[in-house]
Amino acid sequence: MTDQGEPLQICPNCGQENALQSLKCIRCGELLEGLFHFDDYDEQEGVDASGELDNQDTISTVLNSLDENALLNEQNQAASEFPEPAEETQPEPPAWDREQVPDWLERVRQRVKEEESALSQASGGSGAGGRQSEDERAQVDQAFAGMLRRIREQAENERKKNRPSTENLVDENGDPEWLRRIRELHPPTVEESQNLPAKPAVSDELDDDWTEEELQDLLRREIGAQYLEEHRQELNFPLREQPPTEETTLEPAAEPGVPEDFHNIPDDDLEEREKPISLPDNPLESQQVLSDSAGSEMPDPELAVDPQPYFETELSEAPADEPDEEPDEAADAVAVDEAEEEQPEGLEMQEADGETPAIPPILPEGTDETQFGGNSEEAPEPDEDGEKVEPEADGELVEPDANPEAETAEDKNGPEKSADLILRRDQRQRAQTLKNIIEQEGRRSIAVLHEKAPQGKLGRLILVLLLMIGVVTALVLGPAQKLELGVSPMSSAFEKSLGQIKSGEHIMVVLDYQAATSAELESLAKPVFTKLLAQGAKIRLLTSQPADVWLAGGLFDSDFPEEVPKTEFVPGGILGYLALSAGSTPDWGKTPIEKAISGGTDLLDQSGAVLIITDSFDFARVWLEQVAPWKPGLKTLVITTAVNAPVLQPYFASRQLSGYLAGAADHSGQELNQRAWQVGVMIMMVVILLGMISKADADANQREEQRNARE
Amino acid sequence: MKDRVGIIIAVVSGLLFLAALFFQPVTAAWLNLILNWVIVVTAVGLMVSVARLIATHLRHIAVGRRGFLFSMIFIIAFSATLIAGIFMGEENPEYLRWIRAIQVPLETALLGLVALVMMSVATKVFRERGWSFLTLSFGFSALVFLFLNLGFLRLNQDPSLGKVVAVVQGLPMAGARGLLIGIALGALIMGLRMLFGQVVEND
Repeated sequence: MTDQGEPLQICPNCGQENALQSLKCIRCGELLEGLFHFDDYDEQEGVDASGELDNQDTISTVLNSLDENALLNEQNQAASEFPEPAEETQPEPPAWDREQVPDWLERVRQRVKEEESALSQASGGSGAGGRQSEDERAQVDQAFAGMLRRIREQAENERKKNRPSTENLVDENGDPEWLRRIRELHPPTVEESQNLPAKPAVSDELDDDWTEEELQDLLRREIGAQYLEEHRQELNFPLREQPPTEETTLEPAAEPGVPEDFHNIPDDDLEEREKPISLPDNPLESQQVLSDSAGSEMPDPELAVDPQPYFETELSEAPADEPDEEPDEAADAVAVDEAEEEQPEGLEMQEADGETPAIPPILPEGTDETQFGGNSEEAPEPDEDGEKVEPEADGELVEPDANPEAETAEDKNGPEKSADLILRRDQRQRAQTLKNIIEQEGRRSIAVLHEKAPQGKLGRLILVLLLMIGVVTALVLGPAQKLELGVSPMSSAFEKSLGQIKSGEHIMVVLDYQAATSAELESLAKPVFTKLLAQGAKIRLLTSQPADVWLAGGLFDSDFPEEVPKTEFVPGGILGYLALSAGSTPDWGKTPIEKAISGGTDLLDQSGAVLIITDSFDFARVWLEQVAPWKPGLKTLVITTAVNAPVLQPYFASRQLSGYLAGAADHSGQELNQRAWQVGVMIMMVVILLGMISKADADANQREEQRNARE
Repeated sequence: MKDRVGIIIAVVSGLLFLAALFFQPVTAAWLNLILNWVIVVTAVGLMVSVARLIATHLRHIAVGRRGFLFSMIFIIAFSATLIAGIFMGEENPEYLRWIRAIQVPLETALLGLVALVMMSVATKVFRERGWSFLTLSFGFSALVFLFLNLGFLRLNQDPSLGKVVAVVQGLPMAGARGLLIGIALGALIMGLRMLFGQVVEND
């Protein structure tokens, strides 16, 4: 029963060629068990009850062919010349076989016996004659097989002609057969199946042996190659706009009737991508494009263009781009153009109403929009004859920012929904993706090592208020009390050295402090200067800081303004002091610094002690290390802030420093408000304790959260 | 070549200064001369810096750069101080009192802000750094010395307690000595690098 190398069997329902061992048709799922019958028996019994094949005609054709065959005629003639001998060669069948063998088989066996007996008579039992009879038999078999092949081809052609349109094969859900096949090839994902309305499950009876080539043929046959060429750019639209994501790649599968990978020719994609977006020649269509772009939320104008203009533009360009198209496909394009040209009236009416005209889907013949059911995302496609179904202009565009729930509800109303809605949804998804990308700009994409928890300013404000209220209250309430603190060894030594200054002795006071610390230093210096002046000492003020020129006036008590000496400016900072201490007057005359400072290099030699008033530990250190060594017999005293007290201790321990006052608490003779001092110190202690307590509390909360998380 | 000239000048100046310091009192006059050169050059550099500062702020005002109002305030204050000092004299008590009345509150307010920031940091140090030896030692030492400075302890009346407090107060001297030794070593290495021209070459 095979005429080629690979045995095939043809489905009686759809005419599809199937493998010989197939039990069902790979196309329509029709049971093929009947084809396993004997050919003659099939022809006698008929293929199926539908009667697609005319059995009588087929049998008669076979008989006529047998009669007309020359070889068979010769064999018949030979059989008549050599009558068949008695039934000697064939053994009797067993009794059990005779009982179970049906009548038709009995007749077949009888006929075979007759033919074999006739052939044996014709051969005459000779060896050459037997070989000839075998050749003749092979020729007869070949001729018979050829006749059967022609008969099958003829029957197949008749089946194809009489085969009902596949679009009419609609299941109980209203889905055509071609749609079910496409859905079978592109099964919806879990996410898509959740989003989309329930679809009829693909029947297990449908085979899954479809190849890409078969699908291409099916698709071209069903919807026409012209339509595919026209929508090629539209189908490639997501690939050009953004990398394929799960949503975008799934969306074309749900596009109307066109699989997302209906072609895999990169050159075609490249040509389509390089093709600029051109507005249609029709001004109404151009206006439609502009209105669609204006109505969209897409920030990218290219994204905002409605894919429908692509469709229209490509329709006009398709014949010119592909001149090798088949005539019927070109006719399809012409038909589409004609259908497009009939739309301007409807467009005018819709634009007059301020609505964006929507191009409804083009449905295949015999298929209405209700067949797209549920998702209504099937393809507008022409019928096999290339004729377009007149589009309905009642499709409503859904705004990009429309409520998804409303859209879902509208999806359920499939018949009222146009295919343009799907394009809008695709646009909106891409716009949302782009919007998310834009929103992510400037944001930190990687975690930082030390994430600072946002802290309110309330705690800081409370601390500041606590400090201010405490100090102010301490200052306001009651009279000031004398601060009675323990006298440090440094302050005792300072007092002792200060007391050793005799009347008329010069005390060189070096100023190096800023206005910010002037209050603290002046409070320490005033009693000292008062005492020095009382002792009859001569004070000489030097400074290398311009600010100290006008700050020096605050060091003295306002009760004795006439005692305030002039402040001399020493240029060069510590280098100037070094030049005055280590240098000597050259033979050729005084240097500029010596001219600026009265006394010149003899300045330090004339002084009995040096009192440094500074808020900089570094200045005191440099003086003690660089300047003081050049005058070993000169006492050095320091008045500084409390911050520098610890650093000056080593110099006092090494006797480089005769004594110092560091901070208000270091001088027994200062006049400070003891209450305010103590309140400030206590607030500092409370602040540190609060930091410890808050940390402990945070750790306790964290442990509790971890414990709760474990539980 | 320019870099080498600078290196040579720096190295020669350093060597001469060291020689003038080592060979006292023979080189005392040369030391005074060298220091005067340095001071004059430094003063000229300071004048150039002041001129550049003024020019920069004037340019900001001219182009209307963001924050040019502060530049205007600076130019006005600088001009007023300079003109008043020139005409009234730098030793005029009124002039000095005006300047002091403006500058002292400004810098005191800034120091007050620093105190508040430090207080805020004291509360955050444990939360940010956690419980570590550094934070704990800081916290307890600060509490101890703040308490000693409160004046509640009558050290004069209790000699034994005074000795204990003196020992405790002497503890910071250990850290100060380490700090001073580190500073001295750093200065020595920096001086040697300058003498060998490494600092200038690297810069």
